[in-house]
Amino acid sequence: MGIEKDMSAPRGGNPDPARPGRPGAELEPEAFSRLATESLKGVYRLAFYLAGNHQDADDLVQEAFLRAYQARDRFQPGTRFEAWVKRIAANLFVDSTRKRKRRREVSLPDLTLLPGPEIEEDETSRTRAQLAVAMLEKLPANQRIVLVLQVFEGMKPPEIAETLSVPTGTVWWRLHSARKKLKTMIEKAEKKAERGAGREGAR
Amino acid sequence: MNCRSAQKLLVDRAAGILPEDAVAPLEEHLHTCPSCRAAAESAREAEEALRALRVPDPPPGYWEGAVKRIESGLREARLHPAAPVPASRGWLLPLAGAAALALVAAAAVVWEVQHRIGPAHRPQVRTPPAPRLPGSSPSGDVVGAAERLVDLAAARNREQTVFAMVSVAGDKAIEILDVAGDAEEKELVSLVQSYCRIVNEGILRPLAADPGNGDLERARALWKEAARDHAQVFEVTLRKVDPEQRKVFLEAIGLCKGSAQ
Repeated sequence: MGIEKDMSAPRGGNPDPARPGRPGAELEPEAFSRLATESLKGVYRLAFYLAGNHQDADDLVQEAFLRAYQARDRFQPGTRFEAWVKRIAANLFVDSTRKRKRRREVSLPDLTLLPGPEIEEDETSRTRAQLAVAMLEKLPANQRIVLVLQVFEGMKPPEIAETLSVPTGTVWWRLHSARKKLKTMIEKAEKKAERGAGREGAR
Repeated sequence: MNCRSAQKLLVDRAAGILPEDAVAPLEEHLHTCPSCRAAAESAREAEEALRALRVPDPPPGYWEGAVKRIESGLREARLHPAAPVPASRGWLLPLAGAAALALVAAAAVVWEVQHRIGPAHRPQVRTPPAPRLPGSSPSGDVVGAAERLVDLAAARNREQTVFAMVSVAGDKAIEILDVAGDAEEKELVSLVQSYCRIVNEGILRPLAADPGNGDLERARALWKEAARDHAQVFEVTLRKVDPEQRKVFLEAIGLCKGSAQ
């Protein structure tokens, strides 16, 4: 459903004073190419959080820029190009998971996210980071996407709702459910570790 | 606020998405409750772990190569300008139609609710966590919705109840569309319409018409009635759909019946 919407410029996107542009003007290929180069890293990063591995992230990036180019007359100059392409990428991801479901391929590919450098230092934190990856892996696509948009893109729930064309309440609920899963997984893992330590101590 | 309510809000607090009206009561509770403070700390650490996940660097030379491939894709698109934009993809049209109907119905519900409640009482747009009803199964949108409804009605929070229901209607519409094949278009449109109708007429309208309600039993009865209707709609549809997709509908029927008992 988001496919028609994703081609419009994001409403409420932060205007970019560096690119005032003319309302309704098309992006010329050269200008498009320059904007694509500038926004590539940001779009790839989002694509990787969603798709979970380099190959699928790259496919998503290529497809998103192509779709953006085909719909360039719908881009509103003065709004953020990167946010617009990310929006297209997010909706393409939703569509691809739908198609996967239609083909009965229910699970998403494994995630290859890594804990950041600040996490490496500490054993407990490292375990938690691994659990966070495991939780993201297990999440249904519709929960993963809202979590990624909120946590890694800093989007507010109403903005996510608009991007994905779902009710804001649904976004809140998915965010809450995903985090509850992570909390439960961590609690279980820590209880298990405590029991293990207890047995060690009793010897 | 008691520990049970506080615990449900801790993950949202750690995520920074706690509704404003819940901040002060929760902080007050945490101030006096060491065990909830410890749980809040765990929630914060879990959030930290999640936020620390990083995308690994792509293979060397990827950025330059990716730009070249994008540019080559653009040249291809210029050579073949007739390439359709995604909105015209044929297989999506039936789904888009059903989705549009769902959205229109949901928007109508929202409009009506806002119209009746009025802007001065515009709800906090948030679906709060659900407690379990005795004997309910542990998962499923319908059961979850019933639980949320009952919880919210008990809390006498009509506005949030209304939005919880709209939210569930949206979820159900998306779920139905997720499993849809083109052949089921009419049935699916009917399902989505039916679901929105149930939410609207079975729950929102009575709640809006009686501002004094919030009664637990009343909410429970309303939901049972709606769930029964919904199960019937699913059963009718079941006879027409692709046998391979039946199990999805059977599950939905089970959930509806479970919550209507």
